[in-house]
Amino acid sequence: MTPTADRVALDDWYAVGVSREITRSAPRRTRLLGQDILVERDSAGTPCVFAVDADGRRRAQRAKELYGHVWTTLGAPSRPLFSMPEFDEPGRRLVLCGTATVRTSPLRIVENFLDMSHFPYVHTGVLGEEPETAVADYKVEIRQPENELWATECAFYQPQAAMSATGGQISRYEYRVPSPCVTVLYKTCPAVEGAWDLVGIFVQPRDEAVCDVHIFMLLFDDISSTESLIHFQQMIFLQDRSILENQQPPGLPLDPASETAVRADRSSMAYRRWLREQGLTFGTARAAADAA
Amino acid sequence: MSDSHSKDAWYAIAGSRDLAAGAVMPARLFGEERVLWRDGRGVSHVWHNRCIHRGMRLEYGFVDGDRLACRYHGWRFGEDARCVHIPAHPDMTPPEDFRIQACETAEAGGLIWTTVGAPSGPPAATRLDNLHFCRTIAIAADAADIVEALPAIGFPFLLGRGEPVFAHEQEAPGLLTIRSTGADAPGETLVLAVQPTAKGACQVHVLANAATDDTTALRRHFARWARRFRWFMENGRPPDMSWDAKGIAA
Repeated sequence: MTPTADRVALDDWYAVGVSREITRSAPRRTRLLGQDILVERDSAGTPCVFAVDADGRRRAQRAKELYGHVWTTLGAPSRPLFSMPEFDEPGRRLVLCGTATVRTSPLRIVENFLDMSHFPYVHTGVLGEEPETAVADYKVEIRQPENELWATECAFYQPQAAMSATGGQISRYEYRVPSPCVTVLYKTCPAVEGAWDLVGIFVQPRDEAVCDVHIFMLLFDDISSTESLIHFQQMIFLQDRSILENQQPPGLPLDPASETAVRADRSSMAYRRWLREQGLTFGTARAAADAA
Repeated sequence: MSDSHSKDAWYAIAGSRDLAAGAVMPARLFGEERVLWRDGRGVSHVWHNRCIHRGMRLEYGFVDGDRLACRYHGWRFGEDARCVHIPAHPDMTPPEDFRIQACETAEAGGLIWTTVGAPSGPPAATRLDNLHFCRTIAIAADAADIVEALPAIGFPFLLGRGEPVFAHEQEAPGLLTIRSTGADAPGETLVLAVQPTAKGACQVHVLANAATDDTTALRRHFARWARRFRWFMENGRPPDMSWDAKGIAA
């Protein structure tokens, strides 16, 4: 597998490891966009990222440490890494839920994250349950100048919305997609009236159809143990993985005619259109066909 | 893939016994993915293994009466492969063109058949009358190699030692017939229905008959033979065990 030539994909920031897991003695050898990379720390503890070529030659890349993760780019991003102020908000508890490898396109993973109508079938009895399957209309917008995709006014009945939930509730959601491989959701916090929990994924596309997904939560929950919170989120994500690895083709089709959509898929359709307008081909069905 | 296995022919893709009412399973034919399911009335269906909505493999779906449901969003598809219910919009009537691509399907001779091409008539299943389905076995070999290798492995009759006669007819390229000519194994017959799943891989559906009422013993005998045959195909030599050994690698 050779590094991608897709400029749009190259000129973006990606999380390439969980900060606390990368130490002087434990560098992370991984991949980004088909390029072997090394994530390590120098003697001052500053994270460094190198592209490692086939002949072993190392080329230093830009590196940042933010939001509990180490970030890098293989290109020249035209804008700074997105801002996520919730990481500094008092009272929120950061729960790092681990990194899951998923054999599909990063775009399928993000699209699934934006989807509510699968809750009763994939997260049965937890995030949804027949017969409460209806998806009410919600709003989708592209916010400028950041060029971010948002879905708002989303609501869904959930038997057990979170670890701290004690019964069924209508959960309210907002979804934010600041860049094609990053998404977070804001969701009614069962424990604190009026508060929104945050759940997010930073997708690291190793190759076009293999990703490391870094999962985290920023919660108002002082009661649940970290272990039980991680178990809950991993259970949910592994249920999603069983779907994601069985979507064909792995690449996301951006052509509106290639898969069928209904009103509940407005966020998915907007995501696909937004990717098309950016000219992204990495991880799309078309790119997969070109590679074959 | 061998030219002798025409895409325009029918191929068996499962034993009828292996697809219970309400069951869903995957199949492959010439590298194409298919889903098989049996509705509540007992009718079997073969469709493309891909939901029109978000590309999910339908083999992970579930049967809801006379409808197949996709595991991802619960979209229900009726016997004619048309979408009849979208749970996200329970009151909506799905448009006419929301449908899975259905494949020609037949169920005959204890097998479920389909094609990726345009066969001229129904499957040649009448020759399977009076045969008992023994088992299906996956073999890591091209379908064409099965045809060539068959005489070399030998054919152990259940009841005697008659000389085997091999038949491979061009009009039914997936069907291999082996009959006994010996006086002490009258009419003993083995039929292999070969399914070219992909390059370098096939499935063999084993059917047999012999002059015995003990069909369990018959099935067991030829199921063992099938395992031995796979060993031979995948290792290029007969297994070191004796024919009657119980421990043949499964």
